[in-house]
Amino acid sequence: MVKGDGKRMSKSKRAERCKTAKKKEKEAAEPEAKPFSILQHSLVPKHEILSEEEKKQLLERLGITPQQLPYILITDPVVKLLGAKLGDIIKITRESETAGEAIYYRVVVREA
Amino acid sequence: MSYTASIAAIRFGILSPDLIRKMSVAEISSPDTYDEDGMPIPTGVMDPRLGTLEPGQRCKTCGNTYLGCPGHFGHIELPVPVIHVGFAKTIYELLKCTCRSCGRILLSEDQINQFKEEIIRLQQQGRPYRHVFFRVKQRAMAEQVCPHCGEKQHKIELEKPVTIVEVTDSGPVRLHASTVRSRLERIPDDDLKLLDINPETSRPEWMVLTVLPVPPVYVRPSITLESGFRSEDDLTHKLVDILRVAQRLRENINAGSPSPVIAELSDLLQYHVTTYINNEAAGTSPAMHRSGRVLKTLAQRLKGKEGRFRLNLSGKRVDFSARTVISPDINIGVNEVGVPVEIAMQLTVAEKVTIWNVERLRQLVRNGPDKYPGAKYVIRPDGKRIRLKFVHDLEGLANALEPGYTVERHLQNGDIVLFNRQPSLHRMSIMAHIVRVLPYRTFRLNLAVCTPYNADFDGDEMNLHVPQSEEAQTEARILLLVQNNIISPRYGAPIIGAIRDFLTSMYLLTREGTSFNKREMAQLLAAIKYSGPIPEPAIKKPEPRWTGKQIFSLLMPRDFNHTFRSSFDPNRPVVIRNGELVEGVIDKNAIGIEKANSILHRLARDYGNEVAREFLDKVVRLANTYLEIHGFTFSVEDLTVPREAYEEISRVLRQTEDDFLKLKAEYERGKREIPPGMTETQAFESDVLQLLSEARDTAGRIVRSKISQESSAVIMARTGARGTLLNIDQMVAVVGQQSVRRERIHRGFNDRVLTFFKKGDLSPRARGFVYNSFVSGLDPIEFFFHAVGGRDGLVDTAVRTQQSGYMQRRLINALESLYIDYDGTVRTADEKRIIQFLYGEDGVDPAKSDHGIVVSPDALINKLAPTIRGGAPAKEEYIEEKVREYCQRLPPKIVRELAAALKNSKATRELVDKAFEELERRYKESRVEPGDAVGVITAQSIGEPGTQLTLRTFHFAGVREQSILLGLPRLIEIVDARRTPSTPFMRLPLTGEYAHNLAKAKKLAKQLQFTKFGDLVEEMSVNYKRGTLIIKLNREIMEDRGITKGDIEKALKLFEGKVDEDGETVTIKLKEDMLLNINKLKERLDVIKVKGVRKIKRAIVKQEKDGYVIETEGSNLKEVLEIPGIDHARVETNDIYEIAEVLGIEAARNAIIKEAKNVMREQGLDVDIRHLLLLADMMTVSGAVRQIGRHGVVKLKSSVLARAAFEISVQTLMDAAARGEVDNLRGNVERILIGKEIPVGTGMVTLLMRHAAGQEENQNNQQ
Repeated sequence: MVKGDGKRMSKSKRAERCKTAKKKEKEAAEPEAKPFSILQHSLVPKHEILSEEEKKQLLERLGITPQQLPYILITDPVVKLLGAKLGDIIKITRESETAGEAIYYRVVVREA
Repeated sequence: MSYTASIAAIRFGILSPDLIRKMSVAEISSPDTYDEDGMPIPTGVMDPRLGTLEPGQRCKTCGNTYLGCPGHFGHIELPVPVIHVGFAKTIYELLKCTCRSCGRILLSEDQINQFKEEIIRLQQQGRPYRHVFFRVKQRAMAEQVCPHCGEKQHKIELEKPVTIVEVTDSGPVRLHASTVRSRLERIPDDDLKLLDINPETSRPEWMVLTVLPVPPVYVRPSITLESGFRSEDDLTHKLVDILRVAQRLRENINAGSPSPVIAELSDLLQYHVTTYINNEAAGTSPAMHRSGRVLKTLAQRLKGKEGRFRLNLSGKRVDFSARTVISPDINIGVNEVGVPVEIAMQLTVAEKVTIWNVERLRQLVRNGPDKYPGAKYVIRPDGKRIRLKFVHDLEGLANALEPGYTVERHLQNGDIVLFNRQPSLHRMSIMAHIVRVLPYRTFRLNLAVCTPYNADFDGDEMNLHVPQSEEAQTEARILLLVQNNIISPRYGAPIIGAIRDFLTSMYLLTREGTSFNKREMAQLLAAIKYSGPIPEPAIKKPEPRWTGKQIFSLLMPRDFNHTFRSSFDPNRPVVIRNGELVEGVIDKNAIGIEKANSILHRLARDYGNEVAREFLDKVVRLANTYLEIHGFTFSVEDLTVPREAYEEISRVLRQTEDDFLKLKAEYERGKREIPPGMTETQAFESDVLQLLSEARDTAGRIVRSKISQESSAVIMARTGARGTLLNIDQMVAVVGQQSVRRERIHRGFNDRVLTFFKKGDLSPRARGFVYNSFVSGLDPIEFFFHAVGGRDGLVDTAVRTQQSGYMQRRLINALESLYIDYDGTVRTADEKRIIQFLYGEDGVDPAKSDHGIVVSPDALINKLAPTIRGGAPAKEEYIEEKVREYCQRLPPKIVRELAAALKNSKATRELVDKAFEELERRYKESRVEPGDAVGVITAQSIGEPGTQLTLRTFHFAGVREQSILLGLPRLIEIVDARRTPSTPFMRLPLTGEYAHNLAKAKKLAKQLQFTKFGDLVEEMSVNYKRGTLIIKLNREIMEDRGITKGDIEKALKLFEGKVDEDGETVTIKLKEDMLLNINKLKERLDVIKVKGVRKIKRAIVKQEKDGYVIETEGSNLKEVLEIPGIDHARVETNDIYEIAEVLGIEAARNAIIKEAKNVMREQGLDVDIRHLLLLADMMTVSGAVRQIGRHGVVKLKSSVLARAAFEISVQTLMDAAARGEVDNLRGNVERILIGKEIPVGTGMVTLLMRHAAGQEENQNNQQ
């Protein structure tokens, strides 16, 4: 059963969570591959959780509801590592052959 | 006043019995159709109230003739309820989820509320909620006791097609349809909502039929045969069957017959209704016609390629079209099409009369329909159409013309038409041409457009369509004209260009030594309609002569500068300075197809399509005229080499013969090392193949060095006009090995292909090696082998076209709705879901790029530099600042590349400023335009080259120990998102000492290789006396895989296996229960893991430049990532699902791109990376890897019709009906089905207006 998803966490708390997620990522990356984190794999681009404010801005800029964004599953290994929860938007910074760098967004969902 | 209504949406639902009766105009009860006079019997299935088919009669209901009557439904009252086959599964699920006594859903109030809240919350937040229904059903089905009334639930089973059985404590009981119906009636509306059923449109009891609608006669017309007999439609037959049984059943019920009789008749009625709806339902035998033909009933009418959806709705027949054989014409332009007068007199264009054209149109009307140029119809201002064929006073009508009239005149020169050749695999299969009306009866086209149409003239036919409205004509002129399609969006290089003889001719013209006297010069200049001053002759004495280069130079713009390499001599540059061909020759790389950065490409990009078209037109005419002067022929003489060359070739072949015997002897004596994973025969065959192909290559090299460079064959091959150097080798030196499925030919008689050979003869000759060349001629045996190889090629092509055709269809269906929105995002047309935030990640249209690249920084600087005065180089910081500024607006890659190039060339500040400005301008020019249907372009770009992909190709990794599936099958595997690839493969770079120490690397590889206990067992025996199992192990394998005694003991811990001193024998003490079931024990022992990583079948060490790499057959990413010594960050696998599971969806996306790119590269196909990006993003939008097909991407479409139009039409419609789904008709497929314009491209433009009355409706539509 999904619980507590409806209740919004306070902004500061969420911001903190974003930070810890980033920290987690950093921690995983720094020590000499011990244990290996999938975030280091060459196929895995950088994932970040958007803050509430950024999320609002993004949806407004595109004029869409979260449902219209590409999805990423809550069970996705990277999402698990980041500790993102349902409804979060993940910002993905891809390496791009055409543009050098490209930004993509995915919303965390339970199932497609 | 006339009103036009349009369909806003389609709601699916189930007809209630009340509604069926309400819309019925007649109850049908009599099984008879017509009486003796051939009049339809009232209350029969052809009741006149349902409409009439006879021309003279009027409909009994609406009074219209068959032309105006829309048809009316009737109904049949069924004596007993009957289950609707299409809903059998839904009914079954409903019964399982609800209480058998009170009808409530089998969930407690708490659970119900929880689920309801969740769904409402998800809906409000605009997040997907479909999956909740699935959990509701699962939960409810698991419940044993009703939480509401406490009734114990029984197991319910569905026997296909429609029988529902309840397994009670006293045994299985069949539920009668009426029982089912009453149970369904009890389910409250609120509970149904949780079960994904909309009670307002689809009450579940309506899924059990009590009344059957009878479709109007127009749906099932009877046809009169020549013999005068009437033949009824399949549906009519079926309805008659139903009525017959219904009548009998009713009689029996009224007479109070015993229940078995009634039950049997009920079943029969059920059968007939079932087959009436779907004659292919699982578990029923299909109903047949008297002749044994299977009846085509309702479901069959909708389904498949010949069904309503695909045959009549997705594709429609059109007027204003023509089709005939095509033939070439060098005298018409690339953007023209020659139309036979006969066709021009049949096709018409509607032209409105204005004061400016009235005189011309009058003349056309005077000419009438039979004199060209004339007209066929005149439409008066009041809308009345006058057919000129029946007008006697054409003169009078012509004089009556005035503004307000419309004339449908014959097709004339300068009209725009669409030209098409099937199969229409890509956008360039339909292009707009300008009409040239010509004598004779074929369509004429310029040879430069053969490539995009894939046309030749061996009897090909093409289609022509005339756009009627001014909007359509304008669109065709602006978007579809040939010159606007010169550059292919698939690879960003010309797809229209000079071919064949034109290339030969241009080479001959522009090479050193070609010159003309004044007369010839004049002839050539006339061909290109040159009107400027004649250039200074290059040679003045003894008479003035001009070179070919000079003439060619006249075709190019005066300020054109370009340098590139020719196909003829890639080592020397071709230089064009100020529109003057200074150096080099013109060939395929200059004016041909598929070559980026050619003259043609540059002209199209830098000077516009119109200039490129004109250039190409002139090239074609010039080439043709020159070849008329020069002449060009190809004969056996072009394929002769000096005698010594032939001798050398025979020496090579004799040497090969010797080498073969040596090789064979080595194998026979077992002296050759056989690579792991290959049998001896395979290794031998592979060696022989290599030997023989080397022989042909050596022979070919001899030919290439000895053949005259003036030979027509060589000229054609080197300019890219026709043929390859390999073809020349085969014609002159030796044809070489013939193969079937990439193997030497070996099938035929026992141990030999033909009886001319001894059994077991493995010699090249006996296995299809052709020693002769095509010129020397093949002997009968060689001829036979050649034919065998040729047949294999034909079969391969046939299979390939089918497979790639289906792949193309699926790609189109999956990507069809993607377009570029105004904000540059890629969205779906129906739900406006975002697929990409910027098309191709940089927003660039491949067709507006140079082979995928927006700007080449060096070229840009070179172009700007001369315009700028010198000065001190700009500071690096200044450039960096510019980079930061421009990165805000442009893709970082091109900005950084330019910055690097600027730094390199020590550019001044002024140049830096200008360069960045120019970069931005070029980038903006290269952007995709909003509305572009990029999805379709992508699908076509991947699907179209599918036919060129090879079937059954394996790439041999490393030293041919492993083969990796490539080509079309692999591409299909990728878009299918198959669970596991057919050749799983991993590449594991090593770290630290492993990377540089072979022994260590090999040891690691051995550790990876999976060994199960069964692999080691040589022999197993049971000693019953002692109660032990004795297993003898294979020492060789153990040593090979580095398995120690300890490993075995560890593996057999559970069984307490003891290993002998010598490590070869294992003894297991058997317990009593084991003794009794010795086979089961053996099975269990067999699969025990001894060593390695599961699924890794083999691991091989390979040396690469930065250390050793392990390559494995079989893939297991998860476990490999935990093994030390491997560079985990660089581990690769071709198993996309595994990547999605272990590394996440983004990694899977990257893997799809990598794999698809790899297939394309291996096969030498040029597909822009942006297409692969879009494909991968589409496959992963839902967070999981989705197949391009009915279970994946297409299933995610919101529109019912779009899904039904692709595959599994019937089931999709049934589900939609149960859910009460609404199709808002926003996607492309739906719009085409209902015959409206599609919301992409020019159809995307809509009127946006705020209006109080519209506000509410808009909001509803947004949902």
